[in-house]
Amino acid sequence: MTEPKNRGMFGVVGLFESADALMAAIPKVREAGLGKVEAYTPYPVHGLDKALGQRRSPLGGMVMVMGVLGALTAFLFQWWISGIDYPIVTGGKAPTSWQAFVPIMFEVTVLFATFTAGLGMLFFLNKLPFFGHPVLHAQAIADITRDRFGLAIEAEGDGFDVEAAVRALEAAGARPIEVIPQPSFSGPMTARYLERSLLGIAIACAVSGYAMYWAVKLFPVLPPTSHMLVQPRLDPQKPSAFFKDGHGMQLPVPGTVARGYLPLGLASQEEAATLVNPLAVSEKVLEEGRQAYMNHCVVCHGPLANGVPTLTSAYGAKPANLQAKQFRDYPDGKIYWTIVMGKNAMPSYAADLSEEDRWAVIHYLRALQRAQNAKPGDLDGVKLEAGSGPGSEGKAP
Amino acid sequence: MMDAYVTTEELRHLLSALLVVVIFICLVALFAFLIIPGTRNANAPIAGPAVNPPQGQTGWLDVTEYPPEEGYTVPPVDPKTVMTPTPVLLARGKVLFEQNCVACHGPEGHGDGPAAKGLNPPPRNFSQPTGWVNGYQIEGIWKTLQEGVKGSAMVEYDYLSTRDRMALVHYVQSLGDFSHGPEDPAKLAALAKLFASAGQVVPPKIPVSMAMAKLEEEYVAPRPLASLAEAPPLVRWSVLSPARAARTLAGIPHWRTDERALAKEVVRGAPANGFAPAVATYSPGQWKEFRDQLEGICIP
Repeated sequence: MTEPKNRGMFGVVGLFESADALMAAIPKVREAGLGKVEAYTPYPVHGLDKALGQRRSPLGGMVMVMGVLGALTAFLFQWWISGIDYPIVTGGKAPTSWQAFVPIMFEVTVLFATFTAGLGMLFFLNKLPFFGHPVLHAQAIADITRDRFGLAIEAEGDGFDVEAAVRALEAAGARPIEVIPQPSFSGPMTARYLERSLLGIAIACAVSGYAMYWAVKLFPVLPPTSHMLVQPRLDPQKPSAFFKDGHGMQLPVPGTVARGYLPLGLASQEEAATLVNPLAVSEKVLEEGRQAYMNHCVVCHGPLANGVPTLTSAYGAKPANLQAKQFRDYPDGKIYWTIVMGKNAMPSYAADLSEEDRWAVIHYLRALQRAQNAKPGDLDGVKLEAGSGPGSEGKAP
Repeated sequence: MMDAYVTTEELRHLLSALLVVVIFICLVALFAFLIIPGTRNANAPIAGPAVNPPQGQTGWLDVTEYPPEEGYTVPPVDPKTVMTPTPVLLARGKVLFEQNCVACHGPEGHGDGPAAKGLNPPPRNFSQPTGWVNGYQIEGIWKTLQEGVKGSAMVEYDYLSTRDRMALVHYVQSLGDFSHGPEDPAKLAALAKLFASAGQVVPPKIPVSMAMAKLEEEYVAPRPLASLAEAPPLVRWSVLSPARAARTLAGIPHWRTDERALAKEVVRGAPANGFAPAVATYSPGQWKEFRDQLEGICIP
């Protein structure tokens, strides 16, 4: 079996003096129909791709399809996740509210489209990995990159006729004409070699990664990098060898005064009796007081301040009944002192309630006391519900 | 125009590719919705009868919004029924004791309840005859329940009815296994007379929102201070908030005549009371001056 004469042949390239000569030669060479006609020019020549009869790049279409696919993927993914698999209401909207999906859809569209454009161009259209175009190894490339215009007839199969191609180029006016063999790459300059190298690197990464994982796991000789969790640091609510008392959390330095929490310079509750509540009684202040009361006081003193909350039965505690006459007659200052300093089992709430909140709570407490011990005139003009009068609960016989 | 970018042939290819994708999606959706009905909204709550919101004891969701109630007077108690312990009274006393007293005084009245820790002075030990501030006789225990013990954690229990308080008195006495001695007949008679004379007044009740509105209505704003812009320098430096300062001054009765009282109260409450903390550094002479200047900007 004889070897085909043009085995290992890339093609024939001829040089022209000017772009016009090249453009004039292209139709003649194409007519010969000997192989794929390709032009190599030092600068882009208008109309060249049309003259060569090159098809339009399919890249735009690929990008469009993948972009649409990306949008659909993102939409369906989110729709399935937040509408079907785990319906969750965010911001009061329905789980399948598509408007919320738009940003992610946009992002995934761009992701798919750009990856298609970049990778599709490099690997699909430019045929990477592809080392060294044969023309780059021809002598003609020195002229092509300077001021000559090359026209090549490239072999498209085993039936390539070199002599005919040379003749066709000569007839079209090319001087000189060069026959370009397929460059013989060896060693690292082949795609196969690169593929093997990449595979080897990947395998080496995987092997060394797993080896390192198990090495660290079995022989933990590198404590600082073995786990992020065990680096020395202070954790709240956790012991620590850093401080003498072994606690991770430390009290502030003695004498520390937080902003807005000036200490109370009064020695006793009696001394505080004359303190004046600086807040005016208004809807806003009472509402502030109500919120502070509900956040801090209600668990012990109860929603009506009568000291009957669940805490009594749960812990055997006996919070004060603030509806008692003793506390109704308390001046504001004494209550303020109790909030700041604590009393009996009640701790100080100075750190939890700001100065404003403390005085507001006192105003709200006055409202609670008034509600349970109203003045006789308070019910004037109020329509009482039937059956809610006295005697409906616990009236003494 | 269009064929400059994409030929009809290419467009057809593109559209057919899209069609394949869309049909694929439709098939998946069909599968998800019809063939596996369980995948449709698998985590949706099971439909059932509507759950009624929990109702409080009064039938009102917000316990502070109870319906208004009129006040009334509990009729006077017949002294004969409460002056001496009866089994009914003692049983009632035991119930009340467990509700109100056990937390501090302990289940046996030994003063060792869970809430007793940290109380100074400690709660009374009812089994011992020593240390009773008001005495351990009926009149003394009644007084303690009526007024509390000043300077201790014992508060008054005047909100319990007369009969309940007497039940507690007898029960507390029954906890002490010692001789309580003869009662003073004169004091007992006074107590009996008190019980027979007046009934206990239970005040009317209004919802808290109404009480808040009443307090707002009744609030009398103090007379405001004149503008600080033209005030003398000491006032300008010392007064942070004219509104609060006005309220503070209204709460100090004799500040116009007694600058020592003014200084004491203003320094105590600063800066929340509207005065700068720097007032703590003023000399007596400056306080006199400050008092005069404050009087000057008070709108009569």
